[in-house]
Amino acid sequence: MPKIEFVPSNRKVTARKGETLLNIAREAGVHLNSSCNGVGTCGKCKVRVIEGEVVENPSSYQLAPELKEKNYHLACQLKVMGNCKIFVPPETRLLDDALLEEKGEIYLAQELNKSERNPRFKKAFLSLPKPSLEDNLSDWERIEREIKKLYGKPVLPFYSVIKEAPFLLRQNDWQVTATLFDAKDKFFVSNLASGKKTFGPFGLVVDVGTTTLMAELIELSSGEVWGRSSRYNPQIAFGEDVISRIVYGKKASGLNKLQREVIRAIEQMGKKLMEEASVSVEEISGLYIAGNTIMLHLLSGIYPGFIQEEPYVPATNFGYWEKGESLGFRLFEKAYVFLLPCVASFMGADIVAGLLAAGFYKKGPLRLFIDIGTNGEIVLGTGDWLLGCSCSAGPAFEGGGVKHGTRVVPGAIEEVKIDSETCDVEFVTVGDTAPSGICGSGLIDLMAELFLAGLIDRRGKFVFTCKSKRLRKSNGDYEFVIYKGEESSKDITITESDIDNLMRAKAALFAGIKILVETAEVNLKDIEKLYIAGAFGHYIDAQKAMIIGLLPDMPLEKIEFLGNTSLLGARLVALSQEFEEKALEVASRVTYLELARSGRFMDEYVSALFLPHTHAELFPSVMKLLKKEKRATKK
Amino acid sequence: MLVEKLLNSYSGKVKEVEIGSGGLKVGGETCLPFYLWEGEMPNKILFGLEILDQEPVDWADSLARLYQDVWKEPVEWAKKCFEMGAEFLHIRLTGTHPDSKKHDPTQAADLVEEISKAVSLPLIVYVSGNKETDAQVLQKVADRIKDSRLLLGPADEENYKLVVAPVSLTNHNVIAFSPVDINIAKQVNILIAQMGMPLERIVMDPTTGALGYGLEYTFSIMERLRLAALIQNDEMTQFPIICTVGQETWKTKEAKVSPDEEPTWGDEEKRGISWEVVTAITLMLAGANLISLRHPESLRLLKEARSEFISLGEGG
Repeated sequence: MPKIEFVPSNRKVTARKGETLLNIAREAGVHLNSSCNGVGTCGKCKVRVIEGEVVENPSSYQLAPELKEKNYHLACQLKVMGNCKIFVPPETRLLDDALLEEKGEIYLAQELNKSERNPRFKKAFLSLPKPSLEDNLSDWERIEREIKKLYGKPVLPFYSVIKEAPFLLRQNDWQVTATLFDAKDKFFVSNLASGKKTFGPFGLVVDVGTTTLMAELIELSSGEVWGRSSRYNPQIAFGEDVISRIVYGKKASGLNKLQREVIRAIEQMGKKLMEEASVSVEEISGLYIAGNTIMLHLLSGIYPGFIQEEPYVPATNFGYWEKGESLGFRLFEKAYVFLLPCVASFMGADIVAGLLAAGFYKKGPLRLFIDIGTNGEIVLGTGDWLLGCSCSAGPAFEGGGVKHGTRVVPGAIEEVKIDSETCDVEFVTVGDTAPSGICGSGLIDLMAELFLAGLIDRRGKFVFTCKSKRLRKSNGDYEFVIYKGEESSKDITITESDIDNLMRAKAALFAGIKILVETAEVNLKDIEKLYIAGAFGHYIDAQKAMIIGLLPDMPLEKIEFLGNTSLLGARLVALSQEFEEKALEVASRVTYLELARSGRFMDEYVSALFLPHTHAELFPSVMKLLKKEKRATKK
Repeated sequence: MLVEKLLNSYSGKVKEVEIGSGGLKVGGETCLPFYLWEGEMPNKILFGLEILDQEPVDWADSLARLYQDVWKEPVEWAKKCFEMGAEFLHIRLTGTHPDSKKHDPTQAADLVEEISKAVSLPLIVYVSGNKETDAQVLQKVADRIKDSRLLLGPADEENYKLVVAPVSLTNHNVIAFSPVDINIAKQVNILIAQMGMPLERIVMDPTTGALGYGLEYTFSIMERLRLAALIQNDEMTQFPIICTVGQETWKTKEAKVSPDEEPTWGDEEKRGISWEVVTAITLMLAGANLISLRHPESLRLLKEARSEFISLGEGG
């Protein structure tokens, strides 16, 4: 019977000749993505045959030629005929973006069922009786009367509507579609369009990240996503982190420039989404924008300089509607913009949106929310109370400040395994292409593996008793070679100072968690659920993150990755007025803890500058694992 | 009226470390310092004197008057300290530093051996803090001395591997040094223990701050180390503590400046002794097990204080 080996999980099983690889994998407990259930149409179960004898069923799904060349096949259409070694690429193994989105959608649907879908913007088809000498109301009063009849609420016009109405009504035989802005006790008519509109109104949901901008086009009445787009924040040219952005914003005309750049980028994304979906700009009624406090200042053209000065207060925490025009939008000058509320200078609307998406507005068990980024934001609470802090972890986990660090791009090393006996390295890159650098998840893996293999000590310093040739000195720094390039300058390595940066990043985050937990007088082990947000969140191996002491030691099933929760939370707000209120409520419920003022921070930080931590008792399962590993190496 | 005595009970115990040649031990306490109504301190706190392997350059005049007749001859100096009542000797091998080049590793080992033959006291040996020479010096010293258990150090978070490797293969003890930081103190202990060093052969030096120069920091770090050791039973903090009081106090302005410069400050020698004694008493109350000094009068006063604290403690 054929023996099948799956890498990188190194699972080996025996199979029946002629059995499909997907079935073999399922029985062996090797997860392969597959949404068509093995009929060969979704293309998600692609694997590479490293060696072995297989036959393939012809399937309707066509793999890209470069993948075919590399001997990639669909596992569901592949029958094994002899011993095989199969490589399972990460996109087949991990929850991919689409799946994560799907997860987000399901989640969203659950949230929205509970509170009814009730967007601010509604569409009303009006078939008005023509005016006559007997019924001689003005055009506007005619509209007003009809809407009142439909909804029983007072109605007020936007001036532009009154101006446009006379021609529009007469040209369309008194058949128009009004867009209403629901202000609870009354309606505003924000727009009139000709005839009966089947779709709309639409909203644009935007997450303004320091690094990345993301936007979604949403049909508000159905809640459907009509398109999604992302790009780099063009403000990067004026500074990579928020502080340098503030500094630039303090310069003469600096703020203007920053504002213009981001507004233009949002409009470009919006334009592209509208074109793809054949939606006209008049149909975009609302923009829903989340982002950190500083990004929202810059977007609104509000001077950010005082945030940087003691006592670090923002000009506003937002949470209100503003006309597109007054924020500097041109394309969306008539649209209304909701800027999601922030908590404090260093805890922004992105986190408030995240808390909505993770359900923190509900009362329940003790939960922890972590957004891992250059600024790590952490919120702890039961919903009755929420306590948050922000710690500057630095960009190490995003690949910044690391010699061969990179963002999640094709070729980024995202998984690493090190053999503790031979010090041999196996790794997996995004897209299974030649390695170009190491991304955040790869760095977490790498640190954990170096530590498990005894190549670094508990301070994160290389141990030279190891005879590995991969350990060498270069430019006065010690480094470990992960990938040998054609010349030594093309090698991919991790240096001792890289590890230092990662140690500092993880220590800052863990210290923040620890201080929150202690301030709230609860225990780490009482945390029922840990939600992780962040652009690279779903790639992290939680076990490895625990080994290096980035995440608290807890059962893996308590940990949930949510991806970009800022966008998800902003969409909830777009689809429901109740969530708009909840956003304000959650933002005001979070008690923000200024770590700089906590005398305990340095103490906790230094004690977290150790692998996994100075106080090993905080990481019982990791310590158990280390003992096991040690015994295994001794044998 | 009968009042019930409220007593703390401690789950932890400081490890006993054997030093010297006569089975002498330090540590082993099961209560906070001198809380003898709650536990015991089976071994005395020891007071020693410090000597160098070469003529000191910056020692206070009061000390020069005492030692200059012998300090060119470390063995004679050692004998003098023994006669003055030192309970251990703290030898600093500053002459092994490449800048000084007074002794190579073999000569350093010769010297320590001679001292150990001349006086029957436990010896603490600190190397000069130079990466290139320290490991070799320690190796030579550790291998040479066979019939006495030395305390060798200091091993810090940077050099711990160099220091611990030669020591762990012998019977000697190692001193784990940390820069007034409870977390790093514990981290260095863990790092040393992970190299296979037996736990009953580790002593901590948490860095001594003299009165007016950080004494309160050292006090609170030591207090926290002891609370962690005794109450939380944190094994990686359960080591005896050494404080280098002589070195830290006698370099302060208050111990050095002559009455000519500061007429209102009074006699400089008295001043220096007071500084040394106050610092030492404070740290004795924080949990020190070994205190190295420079002045014999301080030594005499502190031994008295020790007896008084013990009888106070026993009186409960």
